[in-house]
Amino acid sequence: MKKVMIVDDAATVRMYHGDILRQAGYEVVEAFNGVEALEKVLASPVDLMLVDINMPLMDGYSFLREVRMHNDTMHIPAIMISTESEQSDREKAYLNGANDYMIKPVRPDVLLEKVRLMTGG
Amino acid sequence: MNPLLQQFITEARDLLEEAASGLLALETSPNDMDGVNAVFRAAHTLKGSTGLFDVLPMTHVVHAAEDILDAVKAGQVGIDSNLIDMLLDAFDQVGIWIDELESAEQLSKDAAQTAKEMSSKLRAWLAQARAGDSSDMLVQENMALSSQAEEREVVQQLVDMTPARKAIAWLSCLSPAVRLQAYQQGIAGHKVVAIAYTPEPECYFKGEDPFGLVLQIPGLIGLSVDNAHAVKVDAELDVYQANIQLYAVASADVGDIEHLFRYVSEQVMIEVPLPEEWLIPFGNQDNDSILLDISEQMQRYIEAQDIDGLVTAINAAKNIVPAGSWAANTFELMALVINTAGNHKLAWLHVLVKCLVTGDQPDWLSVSSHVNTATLAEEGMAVIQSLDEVDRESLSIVMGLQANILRLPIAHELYLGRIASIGKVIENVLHRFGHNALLVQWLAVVNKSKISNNSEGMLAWLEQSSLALVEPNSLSNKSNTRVSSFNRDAALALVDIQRQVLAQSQPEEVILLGRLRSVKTVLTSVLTLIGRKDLLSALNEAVDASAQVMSVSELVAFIDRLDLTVQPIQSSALQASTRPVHRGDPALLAAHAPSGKVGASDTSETATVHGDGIAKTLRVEQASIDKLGDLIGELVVAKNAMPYLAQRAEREFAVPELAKLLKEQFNVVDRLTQELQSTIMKVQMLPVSQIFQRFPRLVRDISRKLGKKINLVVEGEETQADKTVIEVMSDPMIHMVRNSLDHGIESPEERLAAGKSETGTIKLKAFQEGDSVIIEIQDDGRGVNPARVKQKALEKGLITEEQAESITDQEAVYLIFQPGFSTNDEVTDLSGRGVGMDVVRSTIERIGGTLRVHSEVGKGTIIRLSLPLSMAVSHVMEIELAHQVFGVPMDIVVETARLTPDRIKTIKQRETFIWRSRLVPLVRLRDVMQFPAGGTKAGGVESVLVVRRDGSLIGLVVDDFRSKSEVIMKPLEGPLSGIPIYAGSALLGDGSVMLVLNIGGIRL
Repeated sequence: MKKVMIVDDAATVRMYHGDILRQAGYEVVEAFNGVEALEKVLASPVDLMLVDINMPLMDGYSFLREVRMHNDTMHIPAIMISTESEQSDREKAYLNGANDYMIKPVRPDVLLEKVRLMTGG
Repeated sequence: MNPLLQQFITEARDLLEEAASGLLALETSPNDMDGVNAVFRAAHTLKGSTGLFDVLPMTHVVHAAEDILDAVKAGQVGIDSNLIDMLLDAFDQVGIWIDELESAEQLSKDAAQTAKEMSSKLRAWLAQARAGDSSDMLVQENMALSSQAEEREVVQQLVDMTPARKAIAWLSCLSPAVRLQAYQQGIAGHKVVAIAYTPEPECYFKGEDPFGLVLQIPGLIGLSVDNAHAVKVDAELDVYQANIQLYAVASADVGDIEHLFRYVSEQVMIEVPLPEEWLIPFGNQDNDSILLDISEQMQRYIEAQDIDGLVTAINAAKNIVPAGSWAANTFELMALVINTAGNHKLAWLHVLVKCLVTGDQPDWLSVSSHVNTATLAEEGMAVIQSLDEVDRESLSIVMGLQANILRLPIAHELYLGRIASIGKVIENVLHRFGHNALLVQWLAVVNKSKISNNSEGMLAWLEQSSLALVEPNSLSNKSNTRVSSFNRDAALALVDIQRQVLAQSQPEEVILLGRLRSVKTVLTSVLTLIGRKDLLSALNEAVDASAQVMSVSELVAFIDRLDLTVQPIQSSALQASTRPVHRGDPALLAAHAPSGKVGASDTSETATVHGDGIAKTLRVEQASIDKLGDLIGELVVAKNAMPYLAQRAEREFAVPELAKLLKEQFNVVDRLTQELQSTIMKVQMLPVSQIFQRFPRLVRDISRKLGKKINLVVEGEETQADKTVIEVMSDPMIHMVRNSLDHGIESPEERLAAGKSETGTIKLKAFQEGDSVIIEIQDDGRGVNPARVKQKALEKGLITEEQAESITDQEAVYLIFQPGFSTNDEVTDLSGRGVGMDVVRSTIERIGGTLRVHSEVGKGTIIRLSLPLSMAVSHVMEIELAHQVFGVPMDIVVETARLTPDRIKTIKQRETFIWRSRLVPLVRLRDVMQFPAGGTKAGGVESVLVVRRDGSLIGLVVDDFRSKSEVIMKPLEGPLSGIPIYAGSALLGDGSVMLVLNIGGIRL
């Protein structure tokens, strides 16, 4: 089973995205900020990460940079999901290591499609 | 309710609480950026979550608030009380909506209007604050300008840091033999690192050992040593100065080598050349014109892919040129390439042949990434064109996006990570569609990029492949119906974005070409997708024209001329999926939230703080906890049946051994149930801060309204009490604090006149004392005036004149808790409506708590509440009354007494008795509860329970006392709940139900 990590400080968002993915048969790991996410992903790599930007302790950008610099995790695809809709935000996400960018709230079918493609299953 | 909405409501309340307390903290320390950030984050997170539900008004208001906070964060506007008021109002409104959501699962009709007013108010404020006075504006403008400049600088730095592939000139300094070895290793797939090390002249004096260092290089293949500069043998020569240039080649990780040279990193250059870059001819060059002919001939063989012909030509030519010459060496290298290289053979030979004539070093950059991948893409074209259309669309969009990401300049330390992650994304996509042929190609390209730390090959592959995906002739026969309206929007949005890409600042030439190429790729896809292939040639012309003049202008003009006859596109359309989907699906939430209702609307939580300082909280439905509590209660009752069974075993069945075993087992079960009880009790414990945290806001708001200055002190908020106690106490506490604010604390003038400080103090204090939680509300206000209270009580007919004379000043204070009492002549909207304090008293008594007041005129008032730690287990005294058993809460029982008739005296038509030299009124419970009067007992001895009520003692005449017991008390439900004389019911060990009396509720 493919494993997807949801990094978001909002429990509602984690639940929403988590339900969508679980119902589609993915294993879901949740983390409420970059620090917890980093601990988890270093301990046990995942197939894809959905990452929020604005989080306490460590934001999504810093988290992704860390992930991209670490040998065991640098390859993990990441979709950044945020409320910001400016082109510059999108670009900033890419510069910090994201492979795709979605704006909240996401549509379940769109999210699933992207997850399927990026995890390969 | 849908669990997602439930989750949102809980979370939203937490966030609002966080935001409100953060704002209050900011009022005292407006410059605390951490505080601003915390409030901003709360608002931001809330905004994000509101997007999941149909609560647009909420989103609007939170968004407006977030924008203001953002401006505060950026230092554009300052914080003052007005702003905090506005933001608090906004969050309050959101809180009201959250309540509406909880009760009705939707917002009220006027919500939109309210939201509009509120958010436009917030935005108007922000606009005004930003405008500020002109000098401020200038500063801000300068700041904005400088930050823009900074941004540009950062981008420039990023560009500089991006490893642009440059020829590594010094590779030729390594000996040909070493280079050959390096080539062999590289072609075999090993990582080969080239190191150039120039020790500084003073190095010996620093204890450095350059030779020792290079010999430690892991996987060392070869070494070359030279002078760093020409040696001058004269008086000036200083033999203690190092004059060394070291070159080394190693098969090792760059990281290990960087680690080895970490102390002299600035003197070292480390490169990872591609295998072919090691192929550098050496030797004397003679300008023999015959070489021109030879090279032309060889060129023809290469173009014809005639390797055999080429080999013959090389063998022949070797004999013509002098041994050890440049040309001879070039031929050797060509022979080597023929024998070793794979797909890239021809391209490499082509480069080598060129050097024959020019005598320049081979221009490997011209092929390193491009020619090879172009071939690869060509090979893959066939595979790609066999994909079905949906796959093709998906692939094309993912590839296009990843290619765009690759084009962005990126910080050096993230470069490898980006290669790896994009590698993985495309790998997964290809894997998903099962295109193994493409996959193998891709992995090879990625691997190469990783080794060379250069992603150009990947970019080229992606561009070629995605171009192949939309190859006009492959799509030409398919109808446009498959291209859904969605794709059309997305495609058109892409055009818009490409224009923006081009419009970004004029890039250097190298990047410009890449940019033109990428835009061309995307536009080709778009035009094909929307069925406008007629525009393709015009596009090509525009791109070529742009490339010729080295400016994006031509292409931009082309895009501007494009009339695709559609409405303006929102970039968000790009977010949509690659497959045709239905837009605007309103059932989105319903489809993904499991249906089914959650019983309780409430959640309970336990929190422990772990070593890492993060509170880990488990949210559990209140209903589950209640159920657990109920079950434990039943277990207790079931357990209590065991001694009874033991008794029967012994008496009725005459098996004393079994009785003994039963009793032993009973002890075990008893201990376990007790532990269960205390555990469930702990689970339900919450800190009183749950109540206290509301007060800073309350005190602030009310004191501002009343024009009083008040300092709120809170102590012991970590003290814990049962959740039910906490919940019940919330409203009474508000009443009492309001009362202190309104009636207790004087106006500043009054205080100054009384010789007190202008600022009044209200102190909330909580602590545990035995089995009780004590909460004290203390103010240093004017105190309760007993004379005035008595007079008021008289006027209201609450007491008789005689009573007024007989009660002490301390007792008089308790009159404020009588129903319908109000001392303040002027009714404010805060308190003084004559309800409140009596409600407070009855609430506290209902949960088995007590209330004491101590007040001194001019000095202040202390109200002391003693509350049970838990409502789960109550200690009661069982009494008998008219052959029924009732419970009386133990915490009010002072003593039991048996009175002979002679000790009962009638004073003022009331029965009383003297107890420890105090006059205590007697109350016959049978009368109060309207049971028929019982017969006189033997000797007329009355059983009297001395209890404390409102700070005074009364004697309750009962039929008999029984034992004390621990019971799980449940409040009465339904119509019974309105009967004030009962506190609740409890199950006894034998399974019967006992009613527990609420002595405070008995009318005397």
